[in-house]
Amino acid sequence: MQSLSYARPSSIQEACSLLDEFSGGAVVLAGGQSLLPLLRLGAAITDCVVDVNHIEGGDRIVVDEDHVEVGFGARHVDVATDEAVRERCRVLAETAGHIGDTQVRNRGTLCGSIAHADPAGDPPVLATLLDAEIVAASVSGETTYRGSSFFHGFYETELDETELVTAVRFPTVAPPRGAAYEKWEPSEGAYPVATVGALVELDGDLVADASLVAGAVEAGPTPRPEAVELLVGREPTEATVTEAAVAVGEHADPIDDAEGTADFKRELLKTLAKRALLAAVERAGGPTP
Amino acid sequence: MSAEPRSTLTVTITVNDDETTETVPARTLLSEYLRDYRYLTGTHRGCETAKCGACTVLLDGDAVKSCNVLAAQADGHAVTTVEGLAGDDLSPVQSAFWETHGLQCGYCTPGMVMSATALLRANPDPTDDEIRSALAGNLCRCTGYTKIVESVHEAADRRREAADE
Repeated sequence: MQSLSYARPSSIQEACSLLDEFSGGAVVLAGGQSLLPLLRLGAAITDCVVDVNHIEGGDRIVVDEDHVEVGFGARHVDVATDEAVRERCRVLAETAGHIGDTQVRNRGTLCGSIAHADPAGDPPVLATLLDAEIVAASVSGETTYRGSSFFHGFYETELDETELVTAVRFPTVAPPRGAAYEKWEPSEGAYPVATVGALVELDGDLVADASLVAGAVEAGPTPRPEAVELLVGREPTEATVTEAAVAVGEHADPIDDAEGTADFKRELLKTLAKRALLAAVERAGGPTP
Repeated sequence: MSAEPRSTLTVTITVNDDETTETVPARTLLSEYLRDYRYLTGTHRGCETAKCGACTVLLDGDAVKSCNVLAAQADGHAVTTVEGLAGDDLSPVQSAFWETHGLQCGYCTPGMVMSATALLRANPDPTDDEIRSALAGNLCRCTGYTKIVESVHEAADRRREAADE
């Protein structure tokens, strides 16, 4: 492990001052489940880790009719087991409950995962799908980013190195809207090879609006508007859903790697997109094809 | 502790009910701290990349990979290692692994035992799927897992029997 210094701020202001002083030479340590392996492997270098676990109130999860707000200290296990989250934003609780393995979920944080922006991470796909509000603090004040335009490829986001994500606000999802997330991982707990998030809004028998986002196959969460076009204004029959799901795979641009060929990943996306869409339609109150 | 960045830290960590204060480099991992400062070598360092789970310990009761937590993050907290499970007798999980042959080479066993202990505290009567899911972060290259899953079921029975007595 490389040499580094460790700081333990007790307020968001203190944390932001530290990040500002180091101007890029410091990183935020929340759960550390993605950060520490990178530091150990030398894939990330830092002068200082800023441990935000001692800032009071960071672990809050606040749920109301419209939003689920997850504070920067809330861990995946907390999100997954929160009854109110499960009731108001089921897809978020389900996704959090299947991130990594038990040990990762006991430490890892949702906000940290979004700020870290691993291309195979689950929360970035969900934040894009649901257009979550990502609230970040710095010495110059607070900025709210939109999940749909926050991610820019491998570990790249709208954030600069002096900002701390303090909370992520997901919209609640209830009929006539429904959402689901599907992924394929080579073994339980491993990073997924392909993921798809689906959000559907129904108007009577027809799809009024939809969103489809693929993850893990490209450099970041990838919305698939071409597939959405095949759904909107139509009845979500099995044939329509299949057509859109196939488009999610066909429009993807994966690379061949140790996890599988590009063709294999396209086929995975098609299957996952169909599963996610069918579940989203059912949850939106639509018929089960 | 102030917000001032430090390259060495004084940490007070309660390990297996024994509270000790040590000064360590800031970069010290919890796994290194347990082995090199507390001489508790039951916590095994396997992959050192947070994949294998051999270094699993309980941090305030939750299973964590100690190679993926800084000792500084355990400051003021309680850690249980495999050495902390047995009293005069082995714990139900330990004795079940022993008698059900839930191990071959034994390298992964401390991590398996810690994860299984955390699981059974939260879920005293898990299904096969729940056991496999709870142990997904612990790799074993010998057993094929079948005997490990059987051991956890056996441990669950022993814990219930002990509770009934």
